[in-house]
Amino acid sequence: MNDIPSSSKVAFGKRMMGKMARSRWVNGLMEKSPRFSRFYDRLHVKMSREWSGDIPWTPLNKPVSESRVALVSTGGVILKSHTPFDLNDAAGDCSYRIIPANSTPEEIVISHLFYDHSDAKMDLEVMFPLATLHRLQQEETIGSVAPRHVSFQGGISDPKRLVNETAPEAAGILVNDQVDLAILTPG
Amino acid sequence: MGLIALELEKRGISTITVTLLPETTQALGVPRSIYFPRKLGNPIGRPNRKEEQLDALKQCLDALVQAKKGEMITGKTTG
Repeated sequence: MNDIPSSSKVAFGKRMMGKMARSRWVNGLMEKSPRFSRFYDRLHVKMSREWSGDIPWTPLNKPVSESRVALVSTGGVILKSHTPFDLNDAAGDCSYRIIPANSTPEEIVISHLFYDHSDAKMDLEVMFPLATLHRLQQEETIGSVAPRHVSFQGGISDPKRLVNETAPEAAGILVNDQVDLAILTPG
Repeated sequence: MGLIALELEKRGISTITVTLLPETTQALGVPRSIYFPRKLGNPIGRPNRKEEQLDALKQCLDALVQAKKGEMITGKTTG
Protein backbone atom coordinates (compact mmCIF):
# COMPACT_ATOMS: atom_id res chain seq x y z
CA MET A 1 0.00 0.00 0.00
CA ASN A 2 3.01 2.27 0.37
CA ASP A 3 3.55 2.51 -3.39
CA ILE A 4 1.07 5.34 -3.87
CA PRO A 5 2.86 8.67 -3.44
CA SER A 6 0.32 10.85 -1.69
CA SER A 7 0.69 13.77 0.66
CA SER A 8 -1.77 12.18 3.12
CA LYS A 9 -2.62 8.64 4.21
CA VAL A 10 -5.01 7.15 1.66
CA ALA A 11 -8.17 5.65 3.15
CA PHE A 12 -8.79 1.93 2.77
CA GLY A 13 -11.71 2.25 0.35
CA LYS A 14 -9.79 4.56 -1.96
CA ARG A 15 -6.72 2.31 -1.81
CA MET A 16 -8.88 -0.62 -2.88
CA MET A 17 -10.44 1.37 -5.73
CA GLY A 18 -6.99 2.49 -6.78
CA LYS A 19 -5.65 -1.06 -6.67
CA MET A 20 -8.54 -2.20 -8.86
CA ALA A 21 -8.04 0.62 -11.32
CA ARG A 22 -4.36 -0.30 -11.60
CA SER A 23 -4.86 -4.07 -11.60
CA ARG A 24 -3.82 -6.15 -14.59
CA TRP A 25 -7.22 -7.86 -14.56
CA VAL A 26 -9.24 -4.66 -14.88
CA ASN A 27 -6.87 -3.14 -17.41
CA GLY A 28 -6.83 -6.35 -19.44
CA LEU A 29 -10.62 -6.36 -19.45
CA MET A 30 -10.74 -2.74 -20.59
CA GLU A 31 -8.27 -3.50 -23.37
CA LYS A 32 -10.08 -6.58 -24.62
CA SER A 33 -13.65 -5.50 -24.10
CA PRO A 34 -14.83 -2.37 -25.92
CA ARG A 35 -18.12 -2.71 -24.03
CA PHE A 36 -16.41 -2.48 -20.66
CA SER A 37 -14.33 0.48 -21.87
CA ARG A 38 -17.49 2.27 -23.00
CA PHE A 39 -19.11 1.52 -19.62
CA TYR A 40 -16.13 3.08 -17.84
CA ASP A 41 -16.28 6.07 -20.19
CA ARG A 42 -20.00 6.52 -19.52
CA LEU A 43 -19.43 6.59 -15.76
CA HIS A 44 -17.83 10.01 -16.25
CA VAL A 45 -20.27 11.41 -18.81
CA LYS A 46 -22.80 12.73 -16.26
CA MET A 47 -20.24 14.93 -14.52
CA SER A 48 -18.96 16.20 -17.85
CA ARG A 49 -22.45 17.24 -18.91
CA GLU A 50 -22.88 19.22 -15.67
CA TRP A 51 -19.86 21.35 -16.58
CA SER A 52 -20.44 21.70 -20.32
CA GLY A 53 -21.12 25.11 -21.86
CA ASP A 54 -19.95 27.33 -24.70
CA ILE A 55 -16.71 26.15 -26.26
CA PRO A 56 -14.05 28.90 -26.45
CA TRP A 57 -11.91 29.11 -29.58
CA THR A 58 -8.42 30.48 -30.22
CA PRO A 59 -7.46 29.93 -33.86
CA LEU A 60 -3.80 29.26 -34.58
CA ASN A 61 -2.16 32.57 -35.46
CA LYS A 62 1.18 31.25 -36.67
CA PRO A 63 2.50 28.04 -38.22
CA VAL A 64 3.17 25.13 -35.85
CA SER A 65 6.83 25.30 -36.94
CA GLU A 66 7.04 28.74 -35.31
CA SER A 67 4.93 27.92 -32.25
CA ARG A 68 5.90 27.37 -28.63
CA VAL A 69 4.31 24.18 -27.32
CA ALA A 70 3.58 23.10 -23.76
CA LEU A 71 2.40 19.82 -22.29
CA VAL A 72 -0.40 19.74 -19.74
CA SER A 73 -0.86 16.39 -18.03
CA THR A 74 -3.62 15.08 -15.82
CA GLY A 75 -1.64 11.92 -15.17
CA GLY A 76 -0.29 13.08 -11.83
CA VAL A 77 3.38 13.47 -12.79
CA ILE A 78 5.46 15.26 -10.14
CA LEU A 79 9.13 15.92 -9.54
CA LYS A 80 10.58 13.83 -6.69
CA SER A 81 11.19 17.13 -4.89
CA HIS A 82 7.49 18.10 -5.08
CA THR A 83 4.83 17.50 -2.46
CA PRO A 84 2.74 14.62 -3.84
CA PHE A 85 -0.90 15.16 -4.74
CA ASP A 86 -3.33 14.49 -1.90
CA LEU A 87 -4.87 11.28 -3.18
CA ASN A 88 -7.14 10.98 -0.14
CA ASP A 89 -8.89 14.28 -0.83
CA ALA A 90 -12.53 13.24 -1.39
CA ALA A 91 -13.17 16.11 -3.80
CA GLY A 92 -9.92 15.48 -5.65
CA ASP A 93 -6.71 17.50 -5.33
CA CYS A 94 -7.07 20.39 -7.80
CA SER A 95 -3.51 21.66 -7.39
CA TYR A 96 -0.87 21.51 -10.09
CA ARG A 97 2.89 21.07 -10.33
CA ILE A 98 5.31 22.73 -12.69
CA ILE A 99 7.58 20.37 -14.63
CA PRO A 100 10.58 22.24 -16.11
CA ALA A 101 11.42 21.54 -19.74
CA ASN A 102 14.82 20.07 -18.84
CA SER A 103 13.39 17.49 -16.39
CA THR A 104 14.54 13.92 -16.87
CA PRO A 105 12.46 10.76 -16.29
CA GLU A 106 14.68 9.94 -13.30
CA GLU A 107 13.46 13.11 -11.59
CA ILE A 108 9.76 12.32 -12.08
CA VAL A 109 7.31 10.00 -10.29
CA ILE A 110 3.58 9.48 -10.67
CA SER A 111 1.15 10.52 -7.93
CA HIS A 112 -2.23 9.21 -9.17
CA LEU A 113 -4.56 6.36 -8.20
CA PHE A 114 -6.71 5.49 -11.13
CA TYR A 115 -4.68 4.11 -13.99
CA ASP A 116 -2.07 1.42 -14.56
CA HIS A 117 1.39 3.05 -14.16
CA SER A 118 3.46 0.05 -15.24
CA ASP A 119 4.14 1.20 -18.81
CA ALA A 120 4.72 4.80 -17.68
CA LYS A 121 7.33 3.55 -15.18
CA MET A 122 9.15 1.82 -18.04
CA ASP A 123 8.87 4.85 -20.31
CA LEU A 124 7.30 8.08 -19.11
CA GLU A 125 6.85 9.19 -22.72
CA VAL A 126 3.76 6.96 -23.04
CA MET A 127 1.82 9.59 -21.08
CA PHE A 128 4.13 12.61 -20.63
CA PRO A 129 6.01 12.91 -23.94
CA LEU A 130 8.51 15.63 -22.99
CA ALA A 131 11.53 14.08 -24.73
CA THR A 132 9.41 13.50 -27.83
CA LEU A 133 8.43 17.17 -27.76
CA HIS A 134 12.12 18.13 -27.66
CA ARG A 135 12.67 15.86 -30.65
CA LEU A 136 9.96 17.73 -32.54
CA GLN A 137 11.84 20.96 -31.83
CA GLN A 138 15.12 19.48 -33.03
CA GLU A 139 13.39 18.41 -36.24
CA GLU A 140 11.94 21.94 -36.51
CA THR A 141 8.41 20.57 -36.59
CA ILE A 142 7.60 22.95 -33.74
CA GLY A 143 9.18 26.33 -32.97
CA SER A 144 10.14 25.74 -29.36
CA VAL A 145 9.42 23.72 -26.23
CA ALA A 146 7.85 25.79 -23.44
CA PRO A 147 10.18 26.31 -20.46
CA ARG A 148 7.49 25.11 -18.01
CA HIS A 149 4.90 22.34 -18.33
CA VAL A 150 1.97 21.68 -16.04
CA SER A 151 0.75 18.57 -14.28
CA PHE A 152 -2.54 17.95 -12.52
CA GLN A 153 -3.90 14.71 -11.15
CA GLY A 154 -7.09 13.73 -12.90
CA GLY A 155 -9.13 12.07 -10.15
CA ILE A 156 -11.19 15.20 -9.41
CA SER A 157 -14.84 14.70 -8.51
CA ASP A 158 -15.52 18.31 -7.50
CA PRO A 159 -13.73 20.61 -9.95
CA LYS A 160 -14.94 23.98 -8.57
CA ARG A 161 -11.48 24.95 -7.28
CA LEU A 162 -9.91 23.74 -10.52
CA VAL A 163 -12.22 25.93 -12.60
CA ASN A 164 -12.07 28.99 -10.33
CA GLU A 165 -8.45 28.96 -9.14
CA THR A 166 -5.89 26.45 -10.23
CA ALA A 167 -6.62 26.10 -13.96
CA PRO A 168 -6.62 29.93 -14.37
CA GLU A 169 -3.34 30.14 -12.42
CA ALA A 170 -1.74 27.46 -14.58
CA ALA A 171 -3.04 29.18 -17.71
CA GLY A 172 -1.44 32.43 -16.50
CA ILE A 173 1.92 30.70 -16.19
CA LEU A 174 1.76 29.41 -19.75
CA VAL A 175 0.58 32.78 -21.06
CA ASN A 176 3.53 34.41 -19.26
CA ASP A 177 5.85 31.97 -21.00
CA GLN A 178 4.32 32.96 -24.38
CA VAL A 179 3.01 29.48 -25.08
CA ASP A 180 1.06 29.25 -28.33
CA LEU A 181 -0.14 25.64 -28.29
CA ALA A 182 -0.88 23.13 -25.55
CA ILE A 183 -1.13 19.35 -25.87
CA LEU A 184 -3.18 17.94 -22.99
CA THR A 185 -2.56 14.30 -22.13
CA PRO A 186 -4.35 12.07 -19.62
CA GLY A 187 -2.95 9.24 -17.61
CA MET B 1 -8.69 17.61 -18.35
CA GLY B 2 -11.25 19.19 -20.63
CA LEU B 3 -11.96 21.91 -18.07
CA ILE B 4 -8.27 22.84 -18.19
CA ALA B 5 -8.36 22.97 -22.00
CA LEU B 6 -11.31 25.35 -21.86
CA GLU B 7 -9.43 27.72 -19.56
CA LEU B 8 -6.26 27.70 -21.69
CA GLU B 9 -8.26 28.30 -24.87
CA LYS B 10 -10.05 31.26 -23.22
CA ARG B 11 -6.65 32.73 -22.37
CA GLY B 12 -5.42 32.59 -25.98
CA ILE B 13 -3.63 29.24 -26.11
CA SER B 14 -4.85 26.84 -28.81
CA THR B 15 -5.36 23.40 -27.32
CA ILE B 16 -5.61 19.77 -28.38
CA THR B 17 -7.01 17.39 -25.77
CA VAL B 18 -5.83 13.80 -26.08
CA THR B 19 -8.54 11.53 -24.76
CA LEU B 20 -8.93 7.86 -23.99
CA LEU B 21 -12.55 8.42 -22.88
CA PRO B 22 -14.22 9.90 -25.97
CA GLU B 23 -17.79 10.02 -24.66
CA THR B 24 -16.69 11.90 -21.55
CA THR B 25 -14.75 14.43 -23.61
CA GLN B 26 -17.59 14.93 -26.07
CA ALA B 27 -20.14 15.33 -23.27
CA LEU B 28 -18.11 18.24 -21.87
CA GLY B 29 -17.16 19.78 -25.21
CA VAL B 30 -13.59 20.97 -25.80
CA PRO B 31 -12.11 23.09 -28.61
CA ARG B 32 -10.22 20.22 -30.32
CA SER B 33 -9.69 16.64 -29.26
CA ILE B 34 -8.06 13.50 -30.54
CA TYR B 35 -9.11 10.04 -29.41
CA PHE B 36 -6.54 7.26 -29.46
CA PRO B 37 -8.05 3.81 -28.94
CA ARG B 38 -5.38 2.83 -26.42
CA LYS B 39 -5.52 1.60 -22.84
CA LEU B 40 -5.60 3.98 -19.87
CA GLY B 41 -2.08 5.02 -18.95
CA ASN B 42 -0.82 4.89 -22.53
CA PRO B 43 -2.32 7.79 -24.48
CA ILE B 44 0.81 8.40 -26.56
CA GLY B 45 1.91 4.85 -27.32
CA ARG B 46 3.75 1.81 -26.08
CA PRO B 47 6.95 1.93 -24.02
CA ASN B 48 10.19 2.59 -25.94
CA ARG B 49 8.44 2.82 -29.30
CA LYS B 50 9.97 6.18 -30.19
CA GLU B 51 8.60 6.41 -33.72
CA GLU B 52 5.10 5.48 -32.52
CA GLN B 53 5.27 8.19 -29.86
CA LEU B 54 6.59 10.74 -32.35
CA ASP B 55 3.81 9.87 -34.77
CA ALA B 56 1.19 10.30 -32.02
CA LEU B 57 2.45 13.80 -31.24
CA LYS B 58 2.52 14.67 -34.94
CA GLN B 59 -1.10 13.55 -35.18
CA CYS B 60 -1.88 15.88 -32.25
CA LEU B 61 -0.24 18.78 -34.08
CA ASP B 62 -2.12 17.94 -37.30
CA ALA B 63 -5.36 17.87 -35.30
CA LEU B 64 -4.51 21.31 -33.87
CA VAL B 65 -4.28 22.65 -37.40
CA GLN B 66 -7.18 20.81 -39.01
CA ALA B 67 -9.87 20.30 -36.40
CA LYS B 68 -12.89 22.56 -36.49
CA LYS B 69 -14.28 23.98 -33.26
CA GLY B 70 -15.54 21.17 -31.05
CA GLU B 71 -14.32 18.42 -33.39
CA MET B 72 -12.94 15.10 -32.15
CA ILE B 73 -10.53 13.36 -34.48
CA THR B 74 -9.87 9.63 -34.17
CA GLY B 75 -6.12 9.05 -34.12
CA LYS B 76 -4.40 6.14 -35.82
CA THR B 77 -2.53 3.60 -33.75
CA THR B 78 -0.09 1.03 -35.02
CA GLY B 79 -0.21 -1.19 -31.91
